[in-house]
Amino acid sequence: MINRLFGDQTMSVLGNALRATDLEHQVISNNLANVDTPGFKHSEVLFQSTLAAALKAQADGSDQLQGTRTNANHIAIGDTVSPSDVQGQAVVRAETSLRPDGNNVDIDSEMTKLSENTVLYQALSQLVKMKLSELRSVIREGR
Amino acid sequence: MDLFRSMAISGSALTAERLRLDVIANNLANASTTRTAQGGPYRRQQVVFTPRGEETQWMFPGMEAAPKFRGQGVRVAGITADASAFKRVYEPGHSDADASGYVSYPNVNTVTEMVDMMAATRAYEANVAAISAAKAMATAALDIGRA
Repeated sequence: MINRLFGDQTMSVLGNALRATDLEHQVISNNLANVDTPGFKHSEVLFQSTLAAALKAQADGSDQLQGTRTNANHIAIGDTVSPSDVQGQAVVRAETSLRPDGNNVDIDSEMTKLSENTVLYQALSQLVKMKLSELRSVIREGR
Repeated sequence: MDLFRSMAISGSALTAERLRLDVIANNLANASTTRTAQGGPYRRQQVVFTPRGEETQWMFPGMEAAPKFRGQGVRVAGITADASAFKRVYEPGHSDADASGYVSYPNVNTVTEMVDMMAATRAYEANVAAISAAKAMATAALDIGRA
């Protein structure tokens, strides 16, 4: 019964999104902490693009087509994760250099991402709150 | 909660930038010190920053989900002496003047130190902003539990 209440993917996607935003904040903090460290390469979090790909695969049904893998080294065909399983991933961006010392932290873009990320986190937590108040309303029979 | 980890990351940067500011202040204070315990004029010092914790792993979207981020901020690897030459000023009356009447002054450039000081201050402010953001996010998360 409880599983049915939380059964749709909204709650798990929102939970993963909050976790990804949290991870993003750690990554931005670490980039800012190392703004003067020679040779440091900044990281970023991949989440929205992965989630969009998973949602698209679910919508056009291409997640149904799966290639069988008999060996772990085979290339995965149609191996998309379901939207509720998409997690944020931190990746290092080592391709560029902004300064002669090899550091590539762009403080302006990091500060923009920082405030953007904070607003996103607040919006997501509002959505979780609304989802829970919907459920509460149903449990109380709309009273 | 992982938001406390990002506060710790920013905190490490505050410590490092403050130490950098201390070293700059020491350089400025000793900008004309001609006599030290080691002999000779004061030598300019500078901090060396290095990342704390392991590097993040290379990963591509769609690969096995392991959202493990290992960055732990920054630390000061050491304080090194600037090996550049001292300023030589002709002051025959000075008690630290050599045989030809020249006094060696520290290799501290006040303008460079002031610029470094501003950079350290701005970096400090950026990390304070990151801590405030983490606090706002933690407050929003706590608000989920409230009715």
